[in-house]
Amino acid sequence: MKAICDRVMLNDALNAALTVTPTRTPKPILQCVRVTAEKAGLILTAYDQELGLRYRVKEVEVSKPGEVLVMADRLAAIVRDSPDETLALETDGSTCHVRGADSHFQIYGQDVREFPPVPDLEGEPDLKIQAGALRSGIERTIFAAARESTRYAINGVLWEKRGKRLQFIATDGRRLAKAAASADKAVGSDAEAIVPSKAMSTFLRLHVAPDELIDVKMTANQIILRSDRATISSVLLEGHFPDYEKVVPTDCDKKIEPDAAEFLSAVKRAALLTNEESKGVRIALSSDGIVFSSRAPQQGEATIRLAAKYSGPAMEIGFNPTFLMDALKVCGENIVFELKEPNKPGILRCGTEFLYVVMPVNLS
Amino acid sequence: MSNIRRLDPDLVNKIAAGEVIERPASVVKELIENSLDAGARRIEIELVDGGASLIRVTDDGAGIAADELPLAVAPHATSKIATVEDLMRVETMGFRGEALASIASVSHVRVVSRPNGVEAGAELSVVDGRVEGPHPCAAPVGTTVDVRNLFYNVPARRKFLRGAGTEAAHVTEQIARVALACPNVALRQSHQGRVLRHLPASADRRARIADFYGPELAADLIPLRRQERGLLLEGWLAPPASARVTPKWQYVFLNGRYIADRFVRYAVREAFRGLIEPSRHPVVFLFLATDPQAFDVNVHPTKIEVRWRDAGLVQSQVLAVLRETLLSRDLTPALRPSMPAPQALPPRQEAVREAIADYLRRATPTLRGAASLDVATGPGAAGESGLPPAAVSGDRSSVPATAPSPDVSAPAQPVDSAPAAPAGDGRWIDAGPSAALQFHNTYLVAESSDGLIIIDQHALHERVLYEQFRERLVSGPLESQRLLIPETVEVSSEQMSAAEQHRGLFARLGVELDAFGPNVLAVQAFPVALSRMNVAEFVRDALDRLVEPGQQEHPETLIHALLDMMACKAAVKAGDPLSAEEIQSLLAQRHLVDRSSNCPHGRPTTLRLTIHDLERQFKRST
Repeated sequence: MKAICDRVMLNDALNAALTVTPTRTPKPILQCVRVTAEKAGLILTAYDQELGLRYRVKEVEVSKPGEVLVMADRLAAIVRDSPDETLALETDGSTCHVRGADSHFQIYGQDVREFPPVPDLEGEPDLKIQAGALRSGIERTIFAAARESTRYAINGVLWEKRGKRLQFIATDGRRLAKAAASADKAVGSDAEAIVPSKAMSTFLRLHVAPDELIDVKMTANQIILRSDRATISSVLLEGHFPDYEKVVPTDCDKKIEPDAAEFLSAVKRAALLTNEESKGVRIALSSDGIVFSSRAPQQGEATIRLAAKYSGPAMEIGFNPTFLMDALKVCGENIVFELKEPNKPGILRCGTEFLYVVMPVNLS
Repeated sequence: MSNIRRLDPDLVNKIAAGEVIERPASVVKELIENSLDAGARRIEIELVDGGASLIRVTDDGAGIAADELPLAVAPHATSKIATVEDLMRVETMGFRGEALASIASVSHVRVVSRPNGVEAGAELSVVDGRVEGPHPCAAPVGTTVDVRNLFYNVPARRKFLRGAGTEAAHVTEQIARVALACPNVALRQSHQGRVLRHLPASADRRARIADFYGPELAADLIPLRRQERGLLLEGWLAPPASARVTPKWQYVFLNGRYIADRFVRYAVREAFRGLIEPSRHPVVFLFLATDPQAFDVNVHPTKIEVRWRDAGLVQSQVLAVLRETLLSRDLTPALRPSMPAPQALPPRQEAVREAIADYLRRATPTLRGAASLDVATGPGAAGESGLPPAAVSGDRSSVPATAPSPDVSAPAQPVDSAPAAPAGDGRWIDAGPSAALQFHNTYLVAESSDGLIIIDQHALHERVLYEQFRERLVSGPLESQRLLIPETVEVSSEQMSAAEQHRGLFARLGVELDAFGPNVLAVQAFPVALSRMNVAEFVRDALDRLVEPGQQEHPETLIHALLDMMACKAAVKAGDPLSAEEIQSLLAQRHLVDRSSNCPHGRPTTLRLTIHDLERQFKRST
């Protein structure tokens, strides 16, 4: 293999690969990246046996195709710290030579044939969706997914394909976020898949133009996302995702429509005087608007007023401010905040595309 | 069936003796108490064969007139009380008028006595129940009682006497009780003709404690004193680190009498709770003084129990004083490296040592810089731990960091560019007056004003959280997050009923449990402070704790048991790497919470190594 490569583009590709390679694994070969030089470009492949990434660098001149398997973090560091505009990659058996204007690195690689094969998108994609819409759907839900729950299924985001509509639902048992996006093209029947968070955060880190079309294919145990440059494949989470329709209340009778940015700012500032065991921010609704207050024992108290139109009966409710801020950061403008009782969930809506259900905190 | 008849007086005495005279030590106790009641300033106790052959108690007290001697060995004869009113305000050690008679019924007794101002002494013997004397004889002022052949006529008791050494130890215990209660009485104890202990009269009880229990214990004792509502409480308590495996080391005296009182004992236990491990017992020496009418000592012939007029008051007063004393103290145990005492060096070596010490003093700044670099680039650096640095400094919300975690992943700086001040690495932190270093991801070492302290990070964090939870509980239930999708927990039927029974308890902790089916509970709300914890696991463990046998206790005790568990689960673990901010925040909180010297289970959180100890180890002290 022999190729001259644009360093910045190669660096992007390696950074994407590093999000996939496991930091700790009993199989060290998985910490390698496979570098394949073809006529069409240089393909980097990383795989942790659940999540795989194939990333094509087009800004490359391949004079001799070939393949090499090297430690991803070493190669990434060499490319990151290089001052050159281009780097020359060359293989000599399983050794990889990286040459810059003033440098020559030899990296001893491993046998390429040891690297497990990575699933690819085969056949027709089920959906074609704009990268911007997909990104927004993921961003508006991924934060609400559980992280290390023993209920394995909620450690990911449920994707529901309903015709051309793609819905994303995530919950950690304390709040639930639901977002929707429209696909440009859809084939086949409706389908569901629980996608692990890591696959989605890998997608979010790719540099993809918002209007680029992403191919999506859902099989029984895999999801594959393909952009012009990158293909992400991931196993799906197994298990039963909770019946989310049931936990969305339909009887909220207290509505307020605050400015989203002001609402976020107020929660954020009230949260400044909370601490680990006293996390809650108190929200008092009255005809004067909303009053946010918090109290950290032995540290202090905060009060923030937000003007908003409210005509219902006065009420007070406590929320974990992080839960509110998470949603307010991604929800968009024109929000509606709905409540029922101090021990019943609150709802944050933004149009028909975003819905967030959050349970209150019992304040003493 | 035989007829009812009045018992022979000798038999009555033997029955009485059965209650009071158990072993030589009981004889010694009764005789010493008589001596004290006689106003003795000096008491001598001699034993032969652990007291089985001979017990001799000699005092310089008031003495007994020759014509009263026969009465002294008669039952129910005493000079100590005369009327029922006297019984209500007993100020003497004895009052029953039975001791000598009881002893004489189970041994051969000889009493020699001479009151002050009387020319000649008198002697009286009781042998096999027959009284001989009194005969005039030569004697010093005071009384000497010889008790020979104890239990000669009670073979069962005699058989149960242990070896001479054991019996002598029991005697020592009795003598200790008197020695502590009456430091102004000189005591001399000998066994087989050898003087074991000679205690001159002194005003200092602490010296007596040192005599009996060693100077080390005595040196660590924390004094206390409080007079309130007619109860004077003074004494000492040993720091938690000195706790013992038996409760024997709790000496409680009431008006000069050793007592075993469950109310005081409970107060002691309670005051030390969370400072010592549950299997250990605190060491205390408490001297209570109050109006004799405030209690009744006429409960048991050995007078070791008392009935309080207001036991609750005594208990709460003792508890309050002990607690305050403990809270006002830094209880951090000192590390005591065992080492031989430094030997005096020959003059030449001494001169060399001086010179080296002098050189080191001058060279200290550079040496200090070099040492810190070693640490900064050595095994303490994050890279060696095998964990990715990002994970090392990652989100550990349970140690409230005051600032975002620093980038510990920065590669160790080359030696020449590293500043002399140990700050660059993030492992050394500037915690105001002291710096701290984590090692083996388990312990923290920090500088203190008199040396250095070593902290068990889990134990300290556990205590900090425990105290925070506890404080928080005072103002109401813990803040809890309601669950959108209740978590279900499978439990046994026993746990199910415990959940039902302790619903209020769980509510205070911020846990809301509902029955969800047969043997299934649904968790509807869970404390915010435990947000990182596995809900089902916590609930199951908590229920296990509640159904444990012997846990059907006071709700407060249960709350503490659960808080304990919460603190333990939420605290950083041994092996968790901490960021500089986390270390700093933990150390800062050490000073904010009570009882920070021990974790809620009583294990120490902190050890102290003083400069003085270090200098001795390095043979720098003279």
